[in-house]
Amino acid sequence: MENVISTTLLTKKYHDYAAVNKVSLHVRKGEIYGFIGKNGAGKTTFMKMICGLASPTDGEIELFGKNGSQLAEIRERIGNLIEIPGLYPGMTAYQNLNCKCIAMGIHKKGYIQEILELVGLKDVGKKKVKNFSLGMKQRLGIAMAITGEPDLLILDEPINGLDPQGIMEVRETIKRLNREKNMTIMISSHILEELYRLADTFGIIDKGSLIQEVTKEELEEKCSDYIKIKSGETERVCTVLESMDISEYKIIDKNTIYVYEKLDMISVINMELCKKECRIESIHVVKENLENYFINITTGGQKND
Amino acid sequence: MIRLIKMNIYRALHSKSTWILLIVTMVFGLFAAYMEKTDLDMMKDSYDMINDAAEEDELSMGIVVQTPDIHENGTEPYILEFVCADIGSCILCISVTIFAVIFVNAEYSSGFVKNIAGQVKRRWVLYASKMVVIMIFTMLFMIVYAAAQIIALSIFLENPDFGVNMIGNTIKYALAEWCLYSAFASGLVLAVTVVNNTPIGIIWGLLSGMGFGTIVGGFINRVVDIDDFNICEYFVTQNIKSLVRTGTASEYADELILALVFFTVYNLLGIIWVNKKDIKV
Repeated sequence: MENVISTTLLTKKYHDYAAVNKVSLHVRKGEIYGFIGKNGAGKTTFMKMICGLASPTDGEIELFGKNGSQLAEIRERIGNLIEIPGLYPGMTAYQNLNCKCIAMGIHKKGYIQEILELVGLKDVGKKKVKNFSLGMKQRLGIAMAITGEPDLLILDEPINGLDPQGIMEVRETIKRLNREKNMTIMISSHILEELYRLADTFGIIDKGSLIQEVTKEELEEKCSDYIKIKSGETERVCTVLESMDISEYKIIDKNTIYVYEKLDMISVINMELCKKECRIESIHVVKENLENYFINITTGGQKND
Repeated sequence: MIRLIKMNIYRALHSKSTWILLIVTMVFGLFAAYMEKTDLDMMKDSYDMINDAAEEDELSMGIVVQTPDIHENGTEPYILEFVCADIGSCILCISVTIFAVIFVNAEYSSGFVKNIAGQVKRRWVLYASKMVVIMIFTMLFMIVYAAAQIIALSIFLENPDFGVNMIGNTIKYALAEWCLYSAFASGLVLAVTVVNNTPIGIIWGLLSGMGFGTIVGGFINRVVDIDDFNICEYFVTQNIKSLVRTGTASEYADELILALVFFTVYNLLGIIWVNKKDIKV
C-alpha cells in the first residue's frame, strides 16, 4: 500500500538538544495512525515538520511519494491542528473559516455551514471565538483542519478539553472522514484508550526517538492480560508450570514470572504450586492496558505494581 | 498571493482595531485642521515670527501639525495646501504604526498562521501579502485623514478655497508621501516580524515616527564627521517631513529612490527571515 508519510532518519535539533532524533516512520494511505508519546517526547515537533511549520535539521520527508522541493506543492493536501487551535478571537467561527476558505480559493455556497454542522458548531451564530469554551475552540480547530477536504489530516491532541460527548463526536467524525473520504489521519493523544479505539497503527515516541511502530493486532497481543507470580523460586515454579502444559510464560526477573495462558485456571495453578511446596509471595491476574504497556515501553520495562 | 491578499483584506475589515484606527485618524484630521486654523490666526497676527521659527527647524523631532504659509498677497492658503503640509507631519505614522503592528502580530499571536503557513507554496507570500494590505490601508488612512481635514477646514476657514487647480500636484505629492510611508511601514513590519512583540513594535514605530532616529543620526554624524554629510537626511521619517508639494522633479526623484531602496531592502530582509525561521506560535 502506498505510504502517504514516509520519513527517513528525520531529526530536529535546537542547539544540541534533539527534539526529534532520527525518526523513520511510515503512514499508509487510508489508515489512521496513532502517535503516542509523553509531553515533550517530540510528537508536536515531528508533526510541525510534516506540515511545513518547522524545517528538519536532518533526514528526509516524503509525502504522497514526493520529496525535496516538491513538498511545498504537496502540502496543500494537508490539513492540520497543531497544539492549541489557531483562531482569531475577535471573529466568529464563520469568519475564521471564511478566512481559510478565501486563502484556499474555496467559494462553494453553504460549504462553511456544512463544516460547522459536521463538527457540531452549527448554532454558534455571531458568537466570537474569544467567548467560546475550550471544547468549542477545539471543534473549530478541527473544522479549520478539514476545510478544503485534505487528503492527509494531522491532528495533535484534538480531543483536549472535550467532554465525553465531545470526545465521542470527534471520534465518530474522524472515523467518518476516514471511511467516507478515505482521508489518511495522523493523530496524537494522551488519552491512550481513546486512541486505541481509533487508530490502525501506532507509533510510540519517547525522548525524540521512535521506539516502536505496531499495528493494532500486534498491540492487542502485546497488551493481553497475564498472571503475575512473585516467588523467590522461579525455577521450581517454571517446572510446575511446564508440568501443567503451560508454555506461554516469561521470566521477568529473579522473583517474577508472567503467565499468558490459562488465566481462568489461576486457582488451579495456585493449588498445584502449593502442592509442589513452591514458596509463592503473590499470584494474581493483571489486566494489561495500553497505558501500562506504554509506560513499560518508555521506561524500559520498569513496572508499576 | 492574490488569495492571501483577499484573505488579509477580509481580516483587516473584520477587525475592530482597523475601524477604531480609521475613526482615530479622522479625529487626528479634525484636530490637525483645528490646530492649523489656530496657527493661521497666529500667523496673521505675527507673520514674521512664525516663519523664522519654521526656518530654524530643518531636522525636526516630534510630531507637530504643519501649517502652510500665508500667500504673499496675504490670502489664506488653499485647503489642499493645508492637507499637503500636514500629510508630511508624520501624524499618520501613528495610525500606520498601530495598524501594521497589530495586523502583522495578530496572525502569529492568535496562531492562525498555522492554518495557512503549511499550505502556501512559498512562505514569502505570507509576508508579502500582508505588506500589500498594509500599503492599501496606509493609502486609506491618508484618504480618511485628508477628507477629515478638508471637511473641517471648509467649516473653520473664513474664506475656504479648495484649490482645484492644485489637485494634480496634490495627487503627485500624496503618492510620493505614500511611497515614503510604505517604506516606513516596511521597516516596521520587518522589526515586528523579527521581534514578534506588539508593545515593542508600537513603541519602535512611534519613536521612529517622532524622529528619535535623529538622536542616533546625530551621534553617527559626530563619529563619522564628514563635511556636508548628515545621515539624518537619509532617514525615511525625515524625508516624509521634508518633502514639500512644491519640490522639484529632482527632489521628488530622490525621495522616490530613497523610498524604493528602503522598501526593497526591508522587505527582502523580512522575506529571508520568514523563509528561514520556523513558525513559532
